Amino acid sequence: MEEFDFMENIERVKAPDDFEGRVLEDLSKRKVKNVRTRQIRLSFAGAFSAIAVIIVITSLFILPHGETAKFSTLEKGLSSESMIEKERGKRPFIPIIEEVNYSGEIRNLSHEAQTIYILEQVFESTDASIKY
Amino acid sequence: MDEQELIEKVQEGNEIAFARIVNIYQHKIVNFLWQLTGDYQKSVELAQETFMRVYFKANKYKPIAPLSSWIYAIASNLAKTEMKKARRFPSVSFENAENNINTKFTYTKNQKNLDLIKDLREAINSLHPRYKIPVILKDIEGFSQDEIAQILNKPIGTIKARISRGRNYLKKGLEEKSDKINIFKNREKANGRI
Repeated sequence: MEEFDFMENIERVKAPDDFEGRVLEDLSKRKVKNVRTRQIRLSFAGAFSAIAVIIVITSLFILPHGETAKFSTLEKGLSSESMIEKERGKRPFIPIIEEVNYSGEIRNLSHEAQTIYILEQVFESTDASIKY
Repeated sequence: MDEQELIEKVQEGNEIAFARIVNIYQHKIVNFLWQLTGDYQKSVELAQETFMRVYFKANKYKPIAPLSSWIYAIASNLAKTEMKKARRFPSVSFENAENNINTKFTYTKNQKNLDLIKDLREAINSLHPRYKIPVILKDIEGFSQDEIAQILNKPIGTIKARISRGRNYLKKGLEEKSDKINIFKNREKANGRI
């Protein structure tokens, strides 16, 4: 590869005389620019965080809690069942008690096994006695 | 003060150490970028950007490779990006390149081989960057294959293959040029002009 020996002799260029000065000048400019950019970024970040804090404070202390709760449940899409449950909790509970006489239900058949079927109404809030 | 100490000081923000690095590498980097782009002004701008990155990214330098490899890696990446931006491979003819550059900065060791060097320049400019960069690093900048592998972050086998292919393309290019010149000379002879 004789021709590649000439590669060493191929023409070369040198940097301009003031290259070093130009680089250092550019460096100081970039440093100033970087400081400015950082300041702008920080101020933007500060502004956004301040807005976020204001929103949080407003929602916590200024807006009524019920409103916010409603708003939040609506936002989450929990409006139907959970809202009905909550509404139930708020209303006064009126228990409807019905006495049931099971004496007519028991059949007295001697040839059959003596099985008593107890049909019990389970209701937590009722204190009514069940008659058999 | 050796280069490792210099870069450590640059990492601490020392501008004097940075100026020393610029002083050591300025001609090498400008020349390397000029070999790649063929445009002197562009190569000076890219060299400036290279040194800016050396300063601002100094903390990313790890002393597992020589400083020169790292600086050349930055420069070659910038040159690649520039070539992609241009969307064409720079093919500045020797004459144009000569007009582009400040001739007082150039030096040619062997004036007798100007024709071959001119053809070589054209052939190098027509190479794809994939082959051009390793060939320039090897045959002009004088790096070893290991160092080129470090600079380009490629396996050594790939580098060997690219240098070999690049040289073959250059050889073909030179042969085509000499064939054309011979055909031209023969025609001139036949026409009685020579």
